[in-house]
Amino acid sequence: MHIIIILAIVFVIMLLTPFVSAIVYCKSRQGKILTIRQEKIKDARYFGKSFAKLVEENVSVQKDGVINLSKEETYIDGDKTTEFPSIVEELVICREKDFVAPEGVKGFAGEIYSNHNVIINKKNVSLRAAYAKECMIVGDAVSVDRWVDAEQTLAVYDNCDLGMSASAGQRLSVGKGCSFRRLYAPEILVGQYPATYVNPMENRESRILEAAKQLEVVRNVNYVSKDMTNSQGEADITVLTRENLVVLENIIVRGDVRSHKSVRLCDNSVVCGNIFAEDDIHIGKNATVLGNVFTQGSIYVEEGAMIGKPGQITSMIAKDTITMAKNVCVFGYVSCERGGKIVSSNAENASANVEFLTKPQFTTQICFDDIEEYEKLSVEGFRKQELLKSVKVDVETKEVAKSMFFGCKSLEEVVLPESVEVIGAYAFADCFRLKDITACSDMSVRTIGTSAFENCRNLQAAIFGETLQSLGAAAFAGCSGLKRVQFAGECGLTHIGDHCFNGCENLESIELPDSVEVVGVSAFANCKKLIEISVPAGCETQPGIEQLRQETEVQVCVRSL
Amino acid sequence: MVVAFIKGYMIFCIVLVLIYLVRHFLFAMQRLAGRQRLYYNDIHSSDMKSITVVIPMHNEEQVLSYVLDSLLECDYDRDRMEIIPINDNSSDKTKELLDEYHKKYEFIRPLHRDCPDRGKPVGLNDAMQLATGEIIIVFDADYRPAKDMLKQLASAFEDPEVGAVMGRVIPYNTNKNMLTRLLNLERSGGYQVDQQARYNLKTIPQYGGTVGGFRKDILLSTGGFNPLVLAEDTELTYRLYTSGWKVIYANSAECYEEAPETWEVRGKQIRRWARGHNQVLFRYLPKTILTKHMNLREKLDGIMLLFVYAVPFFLLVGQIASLALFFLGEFSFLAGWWVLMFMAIYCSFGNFAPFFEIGTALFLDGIKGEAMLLPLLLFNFYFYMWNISMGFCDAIADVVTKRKVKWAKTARFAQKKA
Repeated sequence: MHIIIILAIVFVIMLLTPFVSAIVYCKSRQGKILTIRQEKIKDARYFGKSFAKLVEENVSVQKDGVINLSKEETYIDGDKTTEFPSIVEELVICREKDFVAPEGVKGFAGEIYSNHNVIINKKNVSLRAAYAKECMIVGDAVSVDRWVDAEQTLAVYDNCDLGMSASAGQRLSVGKGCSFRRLYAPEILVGQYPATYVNPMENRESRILEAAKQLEVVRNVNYVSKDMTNSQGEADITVLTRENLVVLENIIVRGDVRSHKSVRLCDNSVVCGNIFAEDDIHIGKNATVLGNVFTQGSIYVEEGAMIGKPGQITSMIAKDTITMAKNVCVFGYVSCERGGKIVSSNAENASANVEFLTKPQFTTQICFDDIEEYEKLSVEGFRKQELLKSVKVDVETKEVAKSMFFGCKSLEEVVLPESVEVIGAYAFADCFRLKDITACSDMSVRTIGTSAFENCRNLQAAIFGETLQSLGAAAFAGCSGLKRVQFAGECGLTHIGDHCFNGCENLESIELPDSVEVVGVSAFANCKKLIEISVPAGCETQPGIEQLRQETEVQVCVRSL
Repeated sequence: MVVAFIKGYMIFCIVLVLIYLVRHFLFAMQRLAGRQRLYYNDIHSSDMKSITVVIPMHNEEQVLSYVLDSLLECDYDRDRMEIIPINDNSSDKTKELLDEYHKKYEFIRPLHRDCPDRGKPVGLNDAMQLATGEIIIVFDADYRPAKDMLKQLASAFEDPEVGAVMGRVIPYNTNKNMLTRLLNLERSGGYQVDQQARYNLKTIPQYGGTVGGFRKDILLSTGGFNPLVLAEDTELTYRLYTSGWKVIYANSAECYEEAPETWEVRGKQIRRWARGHNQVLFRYLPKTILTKHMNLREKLDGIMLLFVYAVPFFLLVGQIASLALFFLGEFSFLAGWWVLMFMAIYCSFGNFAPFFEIGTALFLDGIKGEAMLLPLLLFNFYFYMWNISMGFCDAIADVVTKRKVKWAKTARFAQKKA
């Protein structure tokens, strides 16, 4: 009997122990809330940029050769120091001069920062990390532990180990035999040297950059062959397949390619969209992929291939490895978890005369005189072409497409034809330097889309002709330089969208045409100098006008019709 | 005859539990030792898809500023993004607060619904009609997306086969009480192991209706969300798979949410989920079996996933049946099989994947100490078993009566932002 009682007690104890200990744990200890880095953003040049920011913020307050970055550390002033030990343990900072790796130094255990250029052209030097405000050269057989980054161009010569990341703000060349994990630059020249630069678009037809047409989805095929193309060798298809897929030579696939096995692009073939695969992707000689390339396996890129397109950022990502041959060009980002390699060559390399990589030449002026060329433009248009200064459209077109010149921060002059009726949403938004759109009065513009000219801070005047019917939401919001807004006498404008002129700080007065029926909310909010607004009868109850009457001292003059 | 039937049913329950045991075990092992598939968050592209962020709201004055302020901080090209908060028949100050936001920010464009047919599916349908983006990204009003969230989610749609993407939710009110501590464990297991393993194994990661997105044109071309289905998210998952699209899971797209803080609220929530999920089971089981667009592996996982909110009902009946057998003195039918029996009981406690999946998830998330709380999930197990069974019965009643479902909202607990 006693044994039964003892066993029962043991049983109850064993049964309850987990629960009791769990409750005790729960009461005595706080749980850990998993941390999400709310501030994290995607930036392929994160290492270089964050390091440069830290140095620049703290270098002016350094004391006795000690700088406080994430912790206090001593540094070497590269402008004044001439003698370096063979292993440099400290951080090196050059503010006035270029940093050139001195003779006899075998390694830099600290980071290097230069306000100008950085040149590491000694063989077998090891390097923790380096940042150049301008350009950088990394010479033969240099081994990088963490990262290298240059604001402008970065030229890497042969047999270097590029550590975690090599990046540049404008252009990057990587010589043969180099290994890497991540590469980033708007233009990456693989297996090339500064002196041997070849424009990758030289041997390619410009028609591949044209906007995609209506695409048909083709499923579970093994080949994209001639019989799937039109007379120009183009297949207007997107391929989704469970099989291994081969795109045969000289074929242009207008859409995307998705395979649950491998993908092979034969020589000179083109895929205008993205390629996604579960197994390996082989990109043949002189083949082109205008979109992203992504695989859970490896990627092999043969000589002369091009990934991405000029002026755009795309990505080539492999779970395993990436192997690239010479004369490959990638516009954007390259990343692989298990390390990538540029094929080495026995031929003599060009590193005897190291030189900086030239900066890319950007188009600053564009003139369209062929309607077909204009209408076939990629949907992207010239979005975010930050160095574009002037645009002339000299063809009978009716539309400026959505976002076409969005973020062209240097754009000053735009000449549009009289035939334009619609200016699409965001067409000229964030063109901070755009001065003049008086052409609007000569054009037959009917509609100006949402945020079409938002933040065009230099815009002085907006003059509209009789054809205007609708101003989209925030169409001129943030145009802080806008002083004059004028509508033609017979203007048929009926709709002024929400926030249309919000933040036009220099606008003093405005007279809305008789035809206006709708004035959206905040249409004239934050127009700090606005004194008077004249509106047709009936309009005074519109949200945008009502708001002025209630929240500001702007004089609202109501005209009887 | 009756006894034989009950015995047969017990064996069915044991087999059922063993099947799910293997499934959970496989998923946990896959996460620990298997090959992990890469998600698309490393894709950098200057040509991101245009998105519309939609936030369904019903009386959300307490929390709406959190989600909107977080979205305003998000990194995404302005010309490719708009935000549509759906004010769905709110009776508090949601409308006024949203209008204030619109007065400040043009691209926050509230949709005010003041009509009898309230509900998330109809609200989403209306918002899709207004949306200019190709991709609809959905957040609940109590969520706080991180800066890179929108880019992470939108990257998935570069893949032409992806119809929807799902991110990971993490409760921020973990330390409120024991329930929230336990919900934190469940979320960890559900996302870090269950969803990620299904992504790795190329089976069926589930679109969860929030912290996720889908292609607008697919929905519009197939008639939008069905207002008769409560689990519009699960319905979308199966609609996509049975028509040749894929759903993918983004483990790195993490977002804070508010976990229910009372058992009553949690009970109602889980009952509603069970009802909705089982509605999808009844609608999509034949399609899942017959479709040409899913391979065998997807079909097997798809079927098991469809049944996850039916299994607790079967087990509840199984427990009643085992009691019946015990009192009828017929329980010896498994003599010699007792090992299996113990295993089944052990695993039935594990039906919500606590032991393998949550343990693995806590290890991967670096919070191993929380495994001490695992025994307490026994309470959740019975609590859920009851509520899910009720939800299962609701779903059967829906089918029989063809009644219209009434949308209910999970109560919020956060304090209003100062």
